[in-house]
Amino acid sequence: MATRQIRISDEKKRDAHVNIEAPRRKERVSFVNSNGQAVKSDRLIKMTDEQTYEALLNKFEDDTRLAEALMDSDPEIPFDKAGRRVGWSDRVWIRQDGSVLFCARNLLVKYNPDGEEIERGDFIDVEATVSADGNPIPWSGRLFAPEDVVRKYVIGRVVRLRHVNGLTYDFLYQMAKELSDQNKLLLVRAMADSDDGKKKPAPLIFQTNGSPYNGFLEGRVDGDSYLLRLHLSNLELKRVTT
Amino acid sequence: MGRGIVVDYGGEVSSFGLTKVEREKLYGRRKKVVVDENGQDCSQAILTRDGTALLPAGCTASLYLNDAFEVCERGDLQAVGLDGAPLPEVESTLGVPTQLDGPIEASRLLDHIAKSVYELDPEELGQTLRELLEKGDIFETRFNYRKGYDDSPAFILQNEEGIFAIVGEPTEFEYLRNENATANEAEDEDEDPFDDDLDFSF
Repeated sequence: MATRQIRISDEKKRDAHVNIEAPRRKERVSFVNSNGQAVKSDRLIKMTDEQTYEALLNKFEDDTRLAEALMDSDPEIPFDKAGRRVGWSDRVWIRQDGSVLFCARNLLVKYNPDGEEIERGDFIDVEATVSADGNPIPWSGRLFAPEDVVRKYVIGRVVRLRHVNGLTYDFLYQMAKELSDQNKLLLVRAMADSDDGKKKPAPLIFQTNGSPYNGFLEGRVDGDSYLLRLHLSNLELKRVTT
Repeated sequence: MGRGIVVDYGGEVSSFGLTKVEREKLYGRRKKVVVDENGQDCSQAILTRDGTALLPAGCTASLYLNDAFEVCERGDLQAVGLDGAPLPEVESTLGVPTQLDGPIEASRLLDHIAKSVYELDPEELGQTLRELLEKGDIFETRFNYRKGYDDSPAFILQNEEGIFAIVGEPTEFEYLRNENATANEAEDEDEDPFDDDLDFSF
């Protein structure tokens, strides 16, 4: 289970470093062949950039000569490479003429819901708002009934908050108990440093250029054990057809 | 009856057409694009580590291979579970009446993350289910878009926008205890190693 550390505050504005954990993804299905032998999906080379239609057309000058070449020989098959595992490899960017790009310029392109491009500009990195070194996630005090949250927002991700020692066990247990006793979820947003030097509420972003989320903290307790989950949503439950 | 979601709630059959709800359909989308020195969009390719092959899109093929590097046709594959036992195929639930359970607690839905969300267009809606959905109740059924090896829980609910189905994936988090306290309790059961700590006679 992947673990990382964040800072979070409780109702009394006391903050602590705690761990967050994503749920473990279960591989439920694998495949065997007709003899019962395990098989795995692998990626093999079919051809290279020298065998694409554009490359072959460029080499043989027109479709007629290319067709003749295809009948006379096998220029579309790289016999020394076809069938090899791709294996360890690097991702590169290529121009429209197929040449490799050594100096890339990143742009951010925005599209409206109809798929039309509405804006294009330089891509600027968006820093994470949640980290072990940054501002603690504050206790917003804004509480919602679970029924209202699930009927209004789509929970697309969830992480569990885990204590790192006995003190943070008490800290998180009390937060879970507080929320459990009230049967409410706490709206959670980050505090980001703004240009004017003030801290302002901001979406939760867990890594540079990561997806922004609104969070809902849910607590449950059972005896001396607790479950404190941060439900993350970047989608409202709305109709897409009108 | 269309190829939508069909549920049976207490003998009343209701059917819904479905439209997928996605972020880009509601809010649009942002995309990182790489351009060359002339502002022309570029595309990704794979360069093998030995540098001998540049592979633009469409130059590779995914195949199933055994340990002897023998290709296995997809049609000959058998799905097995974690225990190695063959898994039966699960038919699509679309167009097939599926039992609807509930009302359920919102906490049951919170035990899942959404894999996909559908807006439901009622073609036939039972009176009882209509009233309970309008009241705010949440229901659970099983959902499988196409034939496969695993179906999923789906939660049906209504808000002021309409009726929706949320196809879920269980998260299965366990409750946490104070491990240090547990360790101390275990030590308490053993003989105290500092039992004679106050012996000053040396």
